Amino acid sequence: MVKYILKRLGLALIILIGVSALIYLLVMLMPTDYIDNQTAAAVQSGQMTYEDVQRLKELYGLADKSFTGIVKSYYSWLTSAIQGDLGFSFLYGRPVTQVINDYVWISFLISLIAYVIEIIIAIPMGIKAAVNQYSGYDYTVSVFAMMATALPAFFLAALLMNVFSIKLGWFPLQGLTTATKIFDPNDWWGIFLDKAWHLVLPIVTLTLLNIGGLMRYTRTNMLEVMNSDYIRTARAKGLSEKTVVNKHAFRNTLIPLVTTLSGMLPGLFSGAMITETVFSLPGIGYMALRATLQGDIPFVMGYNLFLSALTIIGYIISDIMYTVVDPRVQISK
Amino acid sequence: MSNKENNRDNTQYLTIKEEKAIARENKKIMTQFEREKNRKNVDESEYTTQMRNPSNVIEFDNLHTYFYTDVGVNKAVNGVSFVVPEGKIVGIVGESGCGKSVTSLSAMQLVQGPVGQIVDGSIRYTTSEGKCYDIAKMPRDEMRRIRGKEISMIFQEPMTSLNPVFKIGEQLDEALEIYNENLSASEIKARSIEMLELVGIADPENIYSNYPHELSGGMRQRVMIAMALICEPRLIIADEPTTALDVTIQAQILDLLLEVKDSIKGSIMLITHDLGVIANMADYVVVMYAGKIVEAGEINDIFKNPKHPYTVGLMRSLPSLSNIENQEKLFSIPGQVPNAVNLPDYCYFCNRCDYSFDACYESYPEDILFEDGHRAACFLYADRFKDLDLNRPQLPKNIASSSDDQFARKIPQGRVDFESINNPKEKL
Amino acid sequence: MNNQLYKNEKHNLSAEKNTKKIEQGRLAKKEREAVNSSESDNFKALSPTRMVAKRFFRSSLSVVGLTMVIFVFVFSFLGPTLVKGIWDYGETEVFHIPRESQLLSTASFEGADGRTYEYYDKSTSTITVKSPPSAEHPLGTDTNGFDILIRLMYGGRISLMISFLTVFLQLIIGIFLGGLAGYYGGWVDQVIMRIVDIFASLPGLPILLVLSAVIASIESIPAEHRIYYLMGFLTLISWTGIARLVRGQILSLREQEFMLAAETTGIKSSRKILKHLIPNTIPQLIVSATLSLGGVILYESTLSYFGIGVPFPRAAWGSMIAMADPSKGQEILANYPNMWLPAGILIVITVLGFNFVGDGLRDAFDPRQKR
Repeated sequence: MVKYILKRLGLALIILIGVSALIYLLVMLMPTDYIDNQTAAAVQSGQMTYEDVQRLKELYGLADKSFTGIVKSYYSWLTSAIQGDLGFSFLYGRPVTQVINDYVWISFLISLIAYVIEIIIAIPMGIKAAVNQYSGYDYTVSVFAMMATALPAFFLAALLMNVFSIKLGWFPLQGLTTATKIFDPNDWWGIFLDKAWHLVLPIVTLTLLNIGGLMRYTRTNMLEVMNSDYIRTARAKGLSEKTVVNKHAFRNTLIPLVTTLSGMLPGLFSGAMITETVFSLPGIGYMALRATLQGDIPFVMGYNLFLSALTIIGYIISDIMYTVVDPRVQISK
Repeated sequence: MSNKENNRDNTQYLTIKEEKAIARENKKIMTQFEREKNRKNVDESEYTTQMRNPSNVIEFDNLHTYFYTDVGVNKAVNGVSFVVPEGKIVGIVGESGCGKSVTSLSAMQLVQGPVGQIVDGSIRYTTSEGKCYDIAKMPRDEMRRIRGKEISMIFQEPMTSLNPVFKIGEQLDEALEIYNENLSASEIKARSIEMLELVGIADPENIYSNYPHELSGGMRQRVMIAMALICEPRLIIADEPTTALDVTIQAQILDLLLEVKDSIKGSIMLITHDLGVIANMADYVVVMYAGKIVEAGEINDIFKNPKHPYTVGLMRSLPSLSNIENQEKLFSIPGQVPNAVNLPDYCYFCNRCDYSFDACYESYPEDILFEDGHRAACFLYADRFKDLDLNRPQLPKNIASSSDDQFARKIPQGRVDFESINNPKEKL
Repeated sequence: MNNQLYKNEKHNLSAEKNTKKIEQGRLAKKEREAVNSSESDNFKALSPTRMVAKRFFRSSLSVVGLTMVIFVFVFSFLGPTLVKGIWDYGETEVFHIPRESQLLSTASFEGADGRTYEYYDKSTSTITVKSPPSAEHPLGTDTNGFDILIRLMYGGRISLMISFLTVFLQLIIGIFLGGLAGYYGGWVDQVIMRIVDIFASLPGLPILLVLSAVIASIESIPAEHRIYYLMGFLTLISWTGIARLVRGQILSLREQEFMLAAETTGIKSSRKILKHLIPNTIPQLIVSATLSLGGVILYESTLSYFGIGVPFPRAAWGSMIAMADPSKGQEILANYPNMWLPAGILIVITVLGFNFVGDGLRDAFDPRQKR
């Protein structure tokens, strides 16, 4: 087992290096970067010369845009990245790792809550739809799931804001705190409630966006299981339909569900870029969008590497979970 | 395309509209059946009935099981009547798709719903408590008490019939637990292990805590048999129990079935397409073709004196040594089982039959009872065609004689009234 | 035809006649057989394409999906031509429709004298944009005075074009690389699959943002060409699915008997791929391509929403919804649903349409489908 995990991690490292190289190349091709953006006004007004700008770029390893130059600067970036140093964010004026650490938790919180709600709602509904295949319930669930997957996040967010914030006034429109209210720093309950109030709509948005896919996935797998021979055997034993569904069928449906859902766990840290942006939540996704649009190269690099690492860790977790949940799978390599 | 061809086109293919109409109609019928089956607190008198002959374990009477597909109603079982006498083995033979499995699944109410439904007829069964139920009319909740304890089933595919995520022990225990709530966990375990030992598993304690995928196909089938027998059912339905196994294992499993049958004093309904298996195991044979019984009777009568051309064809297609000696080609019945959706209103076999004559294309033949007690549905033996000089099928000499040795076995003592269940109006 | 004889005269028949009759019966049987076999054999033997089409049209969801897709196509491709031909305007025609706008603001505050004062201000101004729906402009005009309906049509046109071309590119790259990996195996497979792994681990949206931001900031690239780059990028992050699918299919098909049969006949390897393997993967490819059409549209509209997709002044559904972004003021989100709601509904219709059609196709292709 340990050997298997080590081997997977080794392979993951190779992929990660490949990904980082690819991203680095793409990012370096950005013709504009934060330095250009920031110094443009200064150069125009004569406060800085073109040489000053170049010196500044050299300092950050951004000056040489020839192939060898990119390779060299990638190498130096990689060596420091391996040591855990992802550089210094231009936009936020702090080390990239620190920026990520500062903003990732709010993203994680939103995603985690949405993830839990999704599981609680989607799995029972998917199972019920599969057990009553071709019934009215099944059709309703399927069509709803399809609708949810077809909705663009920003449109769904706009709809929710229009109805629940503007028309009904139940929830605040944007942000994480009410700007007009001043809280006593000791009133942690009040602060907590205020923040929670602001997070309702983003969480609803995220949940609705992902619930359809999970529902369909559960339904498809459950259908496959329900049609298998061992379910017939279970019925032939005289088990009640409840036991057949909840024990025999569900336990088998759990295999793909657990592997997929556990593979999604690392992704909860990646931030919901669109939703956070639309609701102006200071999560990692929103921060990354701003950094990307402004050409903050170190942060963009660090964030994308972070995301790729999460994706790969997700693959590994789901592979490992597969061996845990399914007794048939044994590690052969 | 000419107009004529166009017309033919329309008669052959269902249009989408027609299919949708069928689907709508089916849905209506299926919901009705499902609602009927799902009723709670049904009065017992509704499905209590009387056996025709108390020495039978189960009586199938004019059973119709249909599948409501989108291309039309598939009459998988279309009026089947036979009985399983107590302590006997009844073999059901026929090509694949002739309704053998559906008949057996009907007896367990395991036909894949809502598409498949028992439409008509009855399946009478007497429980160990002495109550006689009509399984065809039993509500689903009540049926559960029959499954496993009264009637149990061994399936064709041992590889996929065991739940892959539970240990063998858990799956055995579970079957026992349902009907023995007063037993303690250790007692149940002991019983399960005993059962595994009974079916000839060498290392039962170990196998008890194994997962199905760790066992071979033969071992799994033994486990399936153990599971089917653990509640000591009165009737075991074995649906092609050896088809998926290799030949050497087949014989072992069949012997095992015979042994355990005696140890629990049960009866067996053995479904197979292998006449050799039937010859070695069964007391009675039911030959099915396209959802109907074409011939039924005691094993010796059927094997020595087959009447229906289909049975004769089946026997001739058995390989035998004399075939090789005479350098004959192995016989095979030409053509295929007809599509069960569009069955003709005359004999279903006539277009594959070497002996068919005009009457075969007019109507479906009634059952004919022979002196030796077996019956066949074929016009060749009908009274009204008695005087016609028809070319009636005979088993080739070599097969008839070889089958004598091949199928030699003791003749069952005391004839059980096997035909009592025949359609009364058809009785001659 | 002969049954009369049997019923009435069977006892009178001589043996000779009898055999004759039987022989006649045999002949009749042969004739019937000929008819029967052609009928019963053809009963289900529709050509595969017709079979698939039939199964597809049987499902009401796929028909609904197809209707949706056709509607969007007619709307986005025929619509602009029609409007251009009759009223002669396009997506960037500015309409100044003056109307009076009254801005009312009230506030109450406590004056220095301790009394409460009501502040009441009413200002009337004339604005020429954001006109409400009217007969000439069924959905009104937007902040720039563009007709919203015509922009929806042009937006659909660009979305559909981008998605179809992207999926086409995906298929070319995916089939080529997946085919190579699956057929040759060994180190070719290893290298290609590691590349696939790397591309599949790329974070989709952030990378698209980086790339689009690059393109958006290069002034030497004319805005017209930006969408072509966009398609390239969309392909870049989404071809891996097709490659994996083709490789997996080929690997499983290689194991099957008919490939062995092809090998024994000595067909060349390239022909083997083309003649036997690729056609077998086509059903899956069609399904996967249809389903990814919707995905590409979602990506494209997201980029346009962030302002780095289809460049202004060209219309895109995403950028039309972006007008409602509350960060730029709540007014449009609250009071002008005609400006953003239709675009969102159209995105949903299109994506849903493609998904329904894709699902319907998958069910229609799947031979295991029993029902």
